[in-house]
Amino acid sequence: MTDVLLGAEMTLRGLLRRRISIAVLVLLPLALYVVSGDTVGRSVRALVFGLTWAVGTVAFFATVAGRELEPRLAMAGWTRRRLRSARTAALLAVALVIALGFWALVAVDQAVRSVPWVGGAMLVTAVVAVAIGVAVGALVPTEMEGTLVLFFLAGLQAVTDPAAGWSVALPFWSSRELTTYAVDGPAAASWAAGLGHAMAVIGAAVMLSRAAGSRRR
Amino acid sequence: MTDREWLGQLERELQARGVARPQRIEALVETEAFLADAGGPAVDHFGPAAAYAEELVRAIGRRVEPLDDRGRDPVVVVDGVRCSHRGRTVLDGVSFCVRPGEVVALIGANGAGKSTLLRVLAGLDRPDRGSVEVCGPVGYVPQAGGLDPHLRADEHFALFGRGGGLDRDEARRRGRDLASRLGWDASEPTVAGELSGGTRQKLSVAAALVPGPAVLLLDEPYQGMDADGMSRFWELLWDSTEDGVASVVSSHHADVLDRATTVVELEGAP
Repeated sequence: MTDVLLGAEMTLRGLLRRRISIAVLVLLPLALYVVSGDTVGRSVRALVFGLTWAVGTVAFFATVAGRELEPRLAMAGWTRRRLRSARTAALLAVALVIALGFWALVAVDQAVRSVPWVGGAMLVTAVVAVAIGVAVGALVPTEMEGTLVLFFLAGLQAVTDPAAGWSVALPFWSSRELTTYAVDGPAAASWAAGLGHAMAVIGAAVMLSRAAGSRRR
Repeated sequence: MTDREWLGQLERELQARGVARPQRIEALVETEAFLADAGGPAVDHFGPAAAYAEELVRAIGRRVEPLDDRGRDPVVVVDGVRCSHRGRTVLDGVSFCVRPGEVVALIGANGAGKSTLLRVLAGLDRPDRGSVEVCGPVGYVPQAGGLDPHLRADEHFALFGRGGGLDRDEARRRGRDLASRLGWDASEPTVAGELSGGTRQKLSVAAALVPGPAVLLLDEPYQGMDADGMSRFWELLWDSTEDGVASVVSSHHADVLDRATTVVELEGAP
């Protein structure tokens, strides 16, 4: 356990020293929220989209950065599992803190139908984005391609009609569904479908990450 | 060849012949003192270092510790390794072994497969054919990278040290000591990405040694280091062989030929 804490601490230190990345991580969702603030649903959805893109990208870059150091640490005696756990713990901590901050912003700034469900949607979005960012980092060889893949996934989700059957195949569908449930109520969306989708995507992302890690080893 | 290089070669020749460290130091101190008085190149007075080492071994006779390979099983065994990269065969039929305390130099032209072989030894790539066995914890120093550009030296030492079961303070102490032996003060709070190329390599080497590896795999380890850094690197490497660390070093520099106990030349597959 102390190994994981040490690894998570070092990942956090590395992340927090990337000041521009952290600024973008906070400012991108905020900017989308501010510029689309004319209606409640639109602004909250824009915020969640920004959160998806920003958290996923940070998780992706942290995973790519780990490719240099982590194989050496594994040779020095670390287990792959502990290295992965440490990195994931640090990313989740950053993502959840940011999600909670935006939740507080919406709670004081918007008259949403359900404040707790907005928080739930953001927390689930943050966790899914970490899982997807880590999986893309494990699967895609270079930074440029990985960034474009994430942009493609998040962008497609933003412009797709969530009622279209095939949109369920997109990894961030749960964010849209849970946000809609929080803003518009059970007549418009299902929280169970959103959570179920999120869990399935997280499970698939974890399996893909592990498979890619063992293949690379 | 400078006197310093000649003396370094003499020490390695004596070590290769099983002369114990105290006797080696005594011989080197006396030889150095003679050179200081007499002046002139060492090779003019004593001839090639290998020949003079033979003379010294005969002179100190029974104080020589016989080399006994029976108690020194190989910690690296490479047997008939074949590797290809993008359809091109890079290595074919490579075999050698490394015992504790040995330094094996991998030499060869660009594309001969030195880095590929080290990656195979490190477990980062798999051979197409043949087998590789590496016993014990490994310290791997890649040609470039291998560090987190946003972490400081002490933070790298803490991470590498934990792999070897060291706590943070012990890892930092050991890491800083290793770095100072390479001629660098690692207490400076600079992240790895802002260090010069040579200093980054010093950090990379020191970090690899912190957890106390049994096998060191070094791919062009002194790229970017100045002459003093290279000399210190070899001193550190040879000191680590005293503790039984086995090393495999790839290099383009000709000096590796004088400094290694064994040289493996890779010609690249036809």
